[in-house]
Amino acid sequence: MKTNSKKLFTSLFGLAFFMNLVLPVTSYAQTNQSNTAFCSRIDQIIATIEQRMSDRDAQLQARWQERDANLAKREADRLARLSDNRNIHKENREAQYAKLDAKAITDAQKQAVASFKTTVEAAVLTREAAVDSAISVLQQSVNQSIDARRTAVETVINEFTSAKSAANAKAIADCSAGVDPNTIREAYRASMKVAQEKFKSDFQAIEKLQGSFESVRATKKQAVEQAIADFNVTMEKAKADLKVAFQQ
Amino acid sequence: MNNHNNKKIEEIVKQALKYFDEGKTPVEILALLSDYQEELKEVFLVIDFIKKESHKIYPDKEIFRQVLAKIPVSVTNEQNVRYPFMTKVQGRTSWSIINNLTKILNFMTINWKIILPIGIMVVFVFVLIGVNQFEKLSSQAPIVDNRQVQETPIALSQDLPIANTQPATGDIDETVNDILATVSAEETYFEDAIKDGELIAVDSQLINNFGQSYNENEF
Repeated sequence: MKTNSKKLFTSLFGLAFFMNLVLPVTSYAQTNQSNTAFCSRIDQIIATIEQRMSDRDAQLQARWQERDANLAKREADRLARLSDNRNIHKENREAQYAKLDAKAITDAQKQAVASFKTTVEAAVLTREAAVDSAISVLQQSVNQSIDARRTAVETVINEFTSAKSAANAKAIADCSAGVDPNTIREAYRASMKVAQEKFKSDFQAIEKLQGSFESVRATKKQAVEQAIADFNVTMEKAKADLKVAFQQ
Repeated sequence: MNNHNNKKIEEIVKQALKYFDEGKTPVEILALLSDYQEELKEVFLVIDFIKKESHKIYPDKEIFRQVLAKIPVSVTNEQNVRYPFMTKVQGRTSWSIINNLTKILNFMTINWKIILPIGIMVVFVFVLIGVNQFEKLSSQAPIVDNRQVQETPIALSQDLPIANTQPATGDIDETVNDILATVSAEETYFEDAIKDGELIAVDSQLINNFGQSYNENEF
């Protein structure tokens, strides 16, 4: 047993010694192979990144087109339906006025109905104008925000593309010049990392452009709420005046 | 009578074998038991034959196996005094136990001081080759970036209410209420316009994807 342990220990020691001899060599071989592979694969690396950027740019363009079409359809549908509704409401109001006029017996009552109609129509027009203006300004703000964002994004994309092209060109030139592949690889990675970080920070700034729409939205919401409040006040007063005329 | 003769011959043979064991030669034994020389000659012939041919006798394993198999397990009443907790009647050990013992003995006789280092070396070599192959494949494989997050198509709901009016009655309150009810529809349309703002940043994920076209971990 003692002899066996001794032999076993000797074998393991020999194995450890062998591994210590072999491992550094293999590790160096791997690193060297990887670095050498970088220059031999530079064309493939560049092609892959460019293809990916091209694909994603195409996806982005498609998304923008889809958004523009979606936005245009929403605006058109909204305006068409709003116009239809307003026409229906106007016809209904005319019917309401006619009924009130039919109930008016005295001239004062008829005059009160006419005055009620004039007041209500003016108030409706004022309210509709306020809503139309708010919707229009919102649409303009959305379109402007989209255009500004698209322009900014295109600029950032162009800058990123230029940085990528410069990094590619330098890597190719360095590989041709026989520069240490490890140095080329690290320089390429550093350049692309810087470009990527810049893209990221620039895009974060672009995201904040949406804040301009938010301020417009808040302003116009307040304007519409005020217009509706004014309309309600006008309607209450018109109702009261009419009731006085009809002695209710 | 015959039975008596047989017993007598048995006793003579026993006596002859006793002399034989004591070292007397067959000639001396025949002289001592001269009345039964014929029978004893046959016995000595058999003994001589067995002595001469004994080295040629090799028991057939299969026959031995068959013979042993015919002997039932646990045929004796002898208690195993070494293991008092075992009250079961013990007999010939079954073949399964013998086979298991054989396996254990074979396992113990493996020369581990040789096998163990060789095994470790083989594992080490396989790991080394695996790592090398992985490095090689990962450096040669097409660069695939799975970090891209696919965006769902734009699906912004739009709620555009249809005008809902009440028939004219000539009542002042009903007339005013019907006109005031149109306000909520206008508000809904305004809210729908606000909702358009959600489309501004609908491209965020795709822009992020573009920025991640380069993945430093791939190189």
